[in-house]
Amino acid sequence: MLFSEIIKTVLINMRENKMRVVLTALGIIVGAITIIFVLGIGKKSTLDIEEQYKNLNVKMINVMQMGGRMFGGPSTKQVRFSKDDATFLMQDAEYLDDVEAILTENSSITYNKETASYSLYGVMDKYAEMNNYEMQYGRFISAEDDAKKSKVVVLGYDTAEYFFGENFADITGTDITLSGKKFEVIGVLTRKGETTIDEAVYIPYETCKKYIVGSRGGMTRIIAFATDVKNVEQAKEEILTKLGTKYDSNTLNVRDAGSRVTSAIESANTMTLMLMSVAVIVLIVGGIGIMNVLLVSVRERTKEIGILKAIGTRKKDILKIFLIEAIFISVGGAVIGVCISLILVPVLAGFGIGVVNSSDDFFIAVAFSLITGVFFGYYPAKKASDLKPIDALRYE
Amino acid sequence: MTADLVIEMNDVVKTYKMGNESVDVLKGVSINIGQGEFVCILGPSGSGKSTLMNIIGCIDTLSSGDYYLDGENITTSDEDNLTEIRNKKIGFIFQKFNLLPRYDALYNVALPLLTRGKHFKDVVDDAKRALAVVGLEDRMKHKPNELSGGQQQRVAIARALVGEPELLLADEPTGNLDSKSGADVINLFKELHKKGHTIVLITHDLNVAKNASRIILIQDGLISEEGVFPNAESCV
Repeated sequence: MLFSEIIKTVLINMRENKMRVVLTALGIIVGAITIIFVLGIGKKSTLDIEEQYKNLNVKMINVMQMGGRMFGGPSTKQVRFSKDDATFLMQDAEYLDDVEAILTENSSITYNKETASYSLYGVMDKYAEMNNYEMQYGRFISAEDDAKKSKVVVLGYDTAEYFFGENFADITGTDITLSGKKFEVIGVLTRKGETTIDEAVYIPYETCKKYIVGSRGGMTRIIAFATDVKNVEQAKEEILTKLGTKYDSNTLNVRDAGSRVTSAIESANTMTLMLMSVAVIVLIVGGIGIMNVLLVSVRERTKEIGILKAIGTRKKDILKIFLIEAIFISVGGAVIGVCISLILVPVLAGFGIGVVNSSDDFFIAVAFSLITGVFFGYYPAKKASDLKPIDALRYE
Repeated sequence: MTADLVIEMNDVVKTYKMGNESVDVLKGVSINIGQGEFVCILGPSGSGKSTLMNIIGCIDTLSSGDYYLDGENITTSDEDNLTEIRNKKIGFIFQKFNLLPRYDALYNVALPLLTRGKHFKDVVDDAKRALAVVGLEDRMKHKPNELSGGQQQRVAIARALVGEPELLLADEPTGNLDSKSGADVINLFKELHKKGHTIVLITHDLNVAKNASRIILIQDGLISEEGVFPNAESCV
């Protein structure tokens, strides 16, 4: 039979059994919607992670101390980094571009009788450059500021906004009070959209050491930057080896920023994979539904198949009639599923469930449904085409 | 094998296996039916006439013997080959009409031609012509359940005719009809015979059989009697 005539036959059959076709398609519709949502949610979470870490320099390596009692193990001597360690690491460094020592403190800031507490970082001159910070006003801390222990401060954008109001003008040259000491504002950073950067103040490392932490010594963090993204592993190795000569290497924890992003994305992918298997199960259930309905249909139409065979309809044409019906139901169901999800995505967004879909997802949903239809439609179709005409004709 | 024989059967045996027992339904049947004959195979139920009809119609296979249809030996044909023979050489007419309930009369009649891989619009005229032969051209858009039994059987005859087969094969074609419709159908067969169609009609009803030009009587899987009905020709 001509393909167009087979399709006409299938459409007539489907029209005569509308209710059954709709109920069968329902399984596929739900399956397709599930696939689209799962892919969309997965994509959204990956995008969220990328957004969250977009300011991260992937060449950055955090060097941390694991002092004190970790996991109930034996007490080890607390490691205290200093700026000397940064200098030491940079000596003859092979894979390191820069090493920064950072003092972290909480500081009360006073301006115009307004007082608030902000994170304070005592940093070296390359800190802004290494972290890709940009200046809204003024300049960042220089090596000279550090050497002279100048009382200068760079404000994060939100900090400046808090004290100077929205759309503040260039405030460089203004004096503010940090932990009771007068500092001159030399610059303001452009907003990054990350509170740890925007709600902070930056002063020279040595200044911080002398005027803010004083004899307590404070807590110095070391951040190193690899020469290239490809060299991050070697750089980590280099840091461990070098610092290992000074400290117990068991107390050192060296982690690169990229691995944090990678592990976050990996866990998001695992989630997507889990959800995806749920979607596949839904589709398999839908497919079994198709198979059931088609098997019943073959039985119901046994006599009809017998008649078709008696007047000389070929085996492969009967196979096609049933297989195409399965494909129509599954692909039709998938297309309806795609339409429903197009309506549902904005509704879900209203409930705060983020779903981001690309046209790929719709294609995948339709493709999976098609495969399901063919897979589960083949057996009933084969069964129909293999009926012996004499048996099929006798069937009542 | 003679050239103008439509059916030539030699010593056909059909055995059915039922568990460990095998039952011979046909025990060696030999039949020759020539071009343009109107033959009736008459027999009581259980005589094997339906099995014979199925074998003639190529919807069942024989256990031993030879069967030539229109000069072609189909004793050993496979299912695909038999499918094609059914489509091209045989027009079936069943007791229960066996129209497809979802399609209208016109589509039902067109089906054997569509099966040959033709487009509906190319065969619609042939189908209309076949319906005109049976006098139902005004009912072509009706579905089987909108037609009377007699009309359904005439649609079935149109379907059998449309492919211009060598042989019209009718199995108790009046069995499900009232006497008036039955008579109409028989008259239609007579007309078709007059036009030169070869017709094999299977029945248990002697009154139906009388209309044929030759009667083959089958009993217990064997042909018991065969004869030309003297009145048959004059009836036509």
